[in-house]
Amino acid sequence: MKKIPYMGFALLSFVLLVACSNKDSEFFNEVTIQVPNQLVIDSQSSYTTQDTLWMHTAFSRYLPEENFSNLLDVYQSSGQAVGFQFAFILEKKATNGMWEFYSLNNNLLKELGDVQQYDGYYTGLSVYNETAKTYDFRSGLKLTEAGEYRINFGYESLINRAVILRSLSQANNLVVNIRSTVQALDASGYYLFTVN
Amino acid sequence: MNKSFFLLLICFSAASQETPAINSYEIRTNVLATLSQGAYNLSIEKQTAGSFSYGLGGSITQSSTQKAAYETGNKSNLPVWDITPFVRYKLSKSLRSYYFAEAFSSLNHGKYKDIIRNTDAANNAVYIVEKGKYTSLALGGSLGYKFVIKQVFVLEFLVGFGSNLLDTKKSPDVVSRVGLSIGYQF
Repeated sequence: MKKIPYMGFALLSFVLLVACSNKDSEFFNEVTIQVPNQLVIDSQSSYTTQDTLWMHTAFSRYLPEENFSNLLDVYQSSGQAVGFQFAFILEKKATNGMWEFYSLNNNLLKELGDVQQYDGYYTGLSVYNETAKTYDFRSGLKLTEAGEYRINFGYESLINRAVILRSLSQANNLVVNIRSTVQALDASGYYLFTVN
Repeated sequence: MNKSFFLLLICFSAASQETPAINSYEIRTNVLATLSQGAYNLSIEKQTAGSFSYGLGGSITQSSTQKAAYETGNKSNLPVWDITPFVRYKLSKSLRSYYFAEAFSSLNHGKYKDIIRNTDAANNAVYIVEKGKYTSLALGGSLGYKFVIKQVFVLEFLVGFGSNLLDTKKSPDVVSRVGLSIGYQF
């Protein structure tokens, strides 16, 4: 009989610990919408050395959103974000059959927006075009070596064949994520191509 | 830190073996809530002739850490004040140290924030962070353990939670009632 209070105390402590982490007290300052085909790889059937593989975006600040009839203004929702950023990885098949990160260095061509190379990945930036009210990006990967290559856009690419375009929201403004399927990706989430 | 805490507990436990006295009233403050959440609080409890007691507690939260977590961090609500009437039932006969069960209600008030989808004049949607206030009433239960030292000083542990029943879209689902309190009986 004396054990009852001890057991009750232990049980209640456990329940409380679970309750302390109840999700309703958490707040994530971002929204994610799904809009297909906002990033396009200008794919070719074959490439030769010195060809350029182009990628681009030109999506409107007004985007359709699932389950809603009116368009979402991602520019205002993100606190007038100047751009949307995404990451991608370019790999080349090594002689031992392993895929390795491929560094383009000066062979990254910037036409609209920006593209940067980091240690193990690249980032692209679609910048806001005030006149057209679109987020524009166009960048080229100049292919100088023959071989087998593949591109993926990280976790979303491998799981959902998609890319996440993330707003560069300033201060405490909402971050808007656009999850967008990329048509050129295969079932595994890669864009595979060969340079002859 | 832990060693000092357990030494303190042992001292309290030993002291609680002294001859008991029956005092009708107890006033106490939850030092754990003050230190961890900036909740300044006070409770008063009246002991009846039987196993029941009843009382009223209140707290005001003034914490820059909590405020920052609400304003710019990932916390969706910020408690501001609460008033908590409670009824307790002793689970053992001892007057020096005993477990008790508690039923409480909590009138609680605070701030909340949420992401909502608005429509502008041009019929385009815009997501915004809406901030506001809530006032709700929770009902809940707790279990606790109390030491009475030198017939007048009190050390109390309390663990419990309740569910908010009003303004549920804005107020937190759960109101926790966790305490390490020190008090005085008179």
